[in-house]
Amino acid sequence: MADPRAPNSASVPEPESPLAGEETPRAFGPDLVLAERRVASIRQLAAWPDRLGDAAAIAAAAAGVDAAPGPLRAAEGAGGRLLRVEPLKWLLVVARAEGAPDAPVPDPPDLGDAGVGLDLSHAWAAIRLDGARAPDLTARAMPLDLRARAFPGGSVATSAIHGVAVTVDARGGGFDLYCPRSFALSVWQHLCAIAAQFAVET
Amino acid sequence: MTGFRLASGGAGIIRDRPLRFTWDGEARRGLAGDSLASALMACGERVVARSFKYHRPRGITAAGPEESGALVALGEGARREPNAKAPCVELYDGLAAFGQNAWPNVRFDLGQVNDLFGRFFAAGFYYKTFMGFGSGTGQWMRFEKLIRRAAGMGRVGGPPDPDAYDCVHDFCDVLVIGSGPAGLAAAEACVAAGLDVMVAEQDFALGGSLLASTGAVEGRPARDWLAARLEALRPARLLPRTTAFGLYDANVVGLYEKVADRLGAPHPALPRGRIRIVRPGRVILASGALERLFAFGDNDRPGCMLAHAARVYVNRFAVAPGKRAVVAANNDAAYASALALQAAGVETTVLDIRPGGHAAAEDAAGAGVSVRSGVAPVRVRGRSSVTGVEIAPAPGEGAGGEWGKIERIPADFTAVSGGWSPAIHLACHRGARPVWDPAQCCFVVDEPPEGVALAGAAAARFSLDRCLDHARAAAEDAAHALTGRGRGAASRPAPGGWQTPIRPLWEVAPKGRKLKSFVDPQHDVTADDVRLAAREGYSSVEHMKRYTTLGMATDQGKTGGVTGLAILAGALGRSIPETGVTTFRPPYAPVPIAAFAGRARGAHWLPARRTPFHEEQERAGFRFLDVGLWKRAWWRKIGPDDALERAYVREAERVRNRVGMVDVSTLGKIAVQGPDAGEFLNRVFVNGFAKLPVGKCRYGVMLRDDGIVFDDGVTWRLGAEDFLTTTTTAHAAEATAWLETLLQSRWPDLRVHVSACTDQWAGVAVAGPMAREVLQPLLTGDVSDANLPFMGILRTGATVAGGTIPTVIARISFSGELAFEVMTPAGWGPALWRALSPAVAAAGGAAYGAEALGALRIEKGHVTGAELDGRTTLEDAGLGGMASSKKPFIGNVLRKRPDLTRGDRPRLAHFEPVTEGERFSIGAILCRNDAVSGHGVGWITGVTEAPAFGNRWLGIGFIAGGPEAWEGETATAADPMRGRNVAVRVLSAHRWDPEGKRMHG
Repeated sequence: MADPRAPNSASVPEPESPLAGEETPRAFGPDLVLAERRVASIRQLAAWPDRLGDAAAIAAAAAGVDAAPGPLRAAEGAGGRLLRVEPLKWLLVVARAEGAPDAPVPDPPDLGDAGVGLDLSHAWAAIRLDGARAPDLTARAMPLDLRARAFPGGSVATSAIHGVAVTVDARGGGFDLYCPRSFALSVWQHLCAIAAQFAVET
Repeated sequence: MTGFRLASGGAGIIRDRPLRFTWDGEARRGLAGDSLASALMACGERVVARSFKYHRPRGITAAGPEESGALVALGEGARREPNAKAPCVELYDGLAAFGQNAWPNVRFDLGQVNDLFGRFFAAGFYYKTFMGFGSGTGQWMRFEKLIRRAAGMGRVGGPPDPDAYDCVHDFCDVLVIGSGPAGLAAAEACVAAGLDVMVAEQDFALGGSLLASTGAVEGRPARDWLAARLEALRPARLLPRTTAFGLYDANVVGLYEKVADRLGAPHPALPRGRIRIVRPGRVILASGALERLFAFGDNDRPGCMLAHAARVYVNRFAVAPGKRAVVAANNDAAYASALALQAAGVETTVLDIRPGGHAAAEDAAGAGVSVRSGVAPVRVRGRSSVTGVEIAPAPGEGAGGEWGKIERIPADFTAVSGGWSPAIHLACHRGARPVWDPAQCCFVVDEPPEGVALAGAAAARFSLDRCLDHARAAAEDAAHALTGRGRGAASRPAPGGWQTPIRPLWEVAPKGRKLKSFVDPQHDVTADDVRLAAREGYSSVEHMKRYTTLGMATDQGKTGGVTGLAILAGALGRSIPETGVTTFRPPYAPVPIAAFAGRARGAHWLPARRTPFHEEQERAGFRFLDVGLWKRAWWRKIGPDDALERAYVREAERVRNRVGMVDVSTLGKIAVQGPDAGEFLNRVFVNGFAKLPVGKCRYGVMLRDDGIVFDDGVTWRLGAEDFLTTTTTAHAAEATAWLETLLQSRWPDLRVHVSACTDQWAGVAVAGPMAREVLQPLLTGDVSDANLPFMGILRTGATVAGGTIPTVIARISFSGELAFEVMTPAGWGPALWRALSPAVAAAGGAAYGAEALGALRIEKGHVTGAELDGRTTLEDAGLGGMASSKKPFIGNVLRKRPDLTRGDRPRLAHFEPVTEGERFSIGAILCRNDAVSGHGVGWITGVTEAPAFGNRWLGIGFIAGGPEAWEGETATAADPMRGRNVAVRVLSAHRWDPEGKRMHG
């Protein structure tokens, strides 16, 4: 779907987070921090089956990586982080520039006749988990083995937290959990309730 | 005599760390490392429980989960936990434990009168006495309440469980269940092979039988050997206090880990326990074997215990159960217990049913133990304690032999070993068939399930050497299977390992002696009960189990299961294999129900789904309605006395007369993209979409393959290859899955992608005669009728605090009024709401909720999920005219089936009470006035007070033939549950602005 862009992007107010009002980042003991990761844009890139290679090349170029990642993998370049979330789909996640939250977001890639793009920037909220106990927290929330030996950096998977579909990206020694926006507060509160034990078990 | 703490010994206790606890409200002291059972025994408590049916006094019988006597209650108030097995309870400072199933207490229980009438309470007593008595089932249900009150064991606390529980997902290469010598040896070998290993141990200390051993293991003292293994297992995850309760398909293992039980007053953030769902590559079941009893007279008296348990209490806890022991056995293992007791200063006599002269007997005799071979106990003397044992020489070899002359010997406790049953329960959960091994006198698993190996005593390797060798072979096999390295074990030791073979002994029953010989003490099941069941035709072991309750509840046949079926086999004249064994099912040991719920309790019972406007609506005073997982604004409370009944009418009136705004973000939204998107939608919807112009939207209906309406919604054409299809809130996920299924299975040739994007958008409908006036000043674009006609789409900006946000506006109406659906990316939703609210208020309008939305749509005659309930055709809903005759679409063939095209099918209609002021309810059955019975001729799906129709009561629903068939007639809206019948007029559902002037305005 084409993006409904504002007439004057300079005057667009800050989008509000579904976690507004929550304490973020929030530490649970010395080895676990939950935070919201604000992203500038999330673009779904969906390829046609017979044009997967072409779409992959366009996606890779947009992200600034040598090659688009394969299934259940992610790759990051100057243009963003590319997550292969389905056989024919990637998410191109553009982070907010550090210290420059209003920095313009690059135009989304045009897949031409290799596929279609869809703006999902507001559809997802990203919860960030950092710390040595992050895999212990995820083990209490989702049926995936996210320990480093099984889920090293650059791994991507979709599973469920509290029955809500969540995509996990192992990045920077922690995890980005992409939750549907409408469920984000519920998932956040659920994770915080579980994480509270780590502030006690030191 | 009572138990007491020994002056020395006790590998498992810390003597300089006393712990305080209470027993039935009285202060007691124990030591760190004690179990509740060992502490009670050390304090001299003999009677710690009362039995299930006869209220017979019961003491501690075991040292593990096979405990059948010492069932106690723990904690108070909401944390009260009944039926805890005292040997499995780790003692902690402040523990409060209570006897249960007794009044006033377990030492003096008025319920013991039941024992006097025990002969009347045999198996089947309740069924025979109360069923068929009086007036059959009704009578039984009255008696059942009384019986339930009298029977059972402990009672749970009344208030909800205040503790939290976790559910943890674990992964490993090998899960070793059991930390006895076999488990530790297997785990060590797996760790050495570089595998990721977990070890689960139900006890609070690791070591299993080693904890009660004072002997040597592979040339080292048991304690040193254990310490060395634990050191080698540093890379493994060791989980004491963790019981494997179930083994499931794909080798998923259920564990329950006690976390905070031992902490007394745990921090509220800590879970009390955790369910661990483990997905290991391989399972090594080193769960050991359970010692079993044999039946003899009054073998349930306090002071009667299993032989291995006596050894555990002496060696691990430094508690002697008494001063004079009779150890009765049919196998070698009991001699270790006899030696331990003798070494602790307990005067010990061994009664061995087998002939004497074997090595174990000679060793025991050499240590000062009195060994009497070929002898067995007949009856225990004493009531609340053991005062002596009647014994008799066993019959000689061959059939027809009789027990010899009975003699009485002094004793103050007995320790019995009737053999060992490998703990194969978990393997059986996966369907493994137990096979009787006559040489070892036990059931074994010959063919374990895929990915599972039994090791050590769980595989009937009873000597320590064989146990260790067998476990290491299992580890070798696991490592080979998982890594491809090595060759797997070349050989493994044979079952058995005892120096002198076990001799089967199930019951001691001298002719002419009337004895109460218990097979399952937990359920008060005697050998006579089993025989009675056999006589009454319960020849299947499964039937016998249910008739007698043998092996049910928390026991699960651990102690008396094999003995019971052997006695049944004897009564039926069959062999044990012919008689069979009951099916082991999870859980192996009790697990708190709350643990299965994990964190999904209270506020976290279900995930909540909030729209981008949620907080704004909450601040405005809206009440919320659960619609699936959505929290949907329902109605707005504007004062302390305000109520739903007034609020929704007020809100709906404002929409009709002025303007209102409502959150429509919950509608499902699906992006349908690609060059074939139009063709795809053409096939899916009954009406055409391929030629829908860009910038226009259209209402559409989807059918199922069988011609029944599936869902409806509006599809917006945002670009040539770019559609946004909305669905009902209820069917959003289902519709997305359906479209995806069609693309992947029926039409993979179409270049179309569908993507759920409900959460991308915040949607608000502004409706009412003043909707345009309210909206226009906020927008950068023109929403005049000329620029944005009915069913048109406009992309424009909306001015909000801080700037301008992008929006897409569709001119569509659900209320029948002039209306605009305004969508903006969700992050800007709150800003849009804050901008719109004052504008709407300034025009005399207000936000409205789902209840008013429902009222408006009933007035307008629009269908929703209430009408599209899986039985409705297009024609039933009055939408038959939408079906295209120029293209095929899903459901088009089968919707023309004769039964779906009958003229008398229920059709959509409005209903009004004939008598003003009367009301009827949703779900009322519509009947002909002269036939108010049965299923009627229709039903009501929605009701409202209708401002559009003079605030009369209005219903929507279906009636046979539709309004046309009821001209000049009335019907009856019957409400048989409330006994209320209301005469109704049947009217067209399309009476509000039928020409559409208001919404086209």
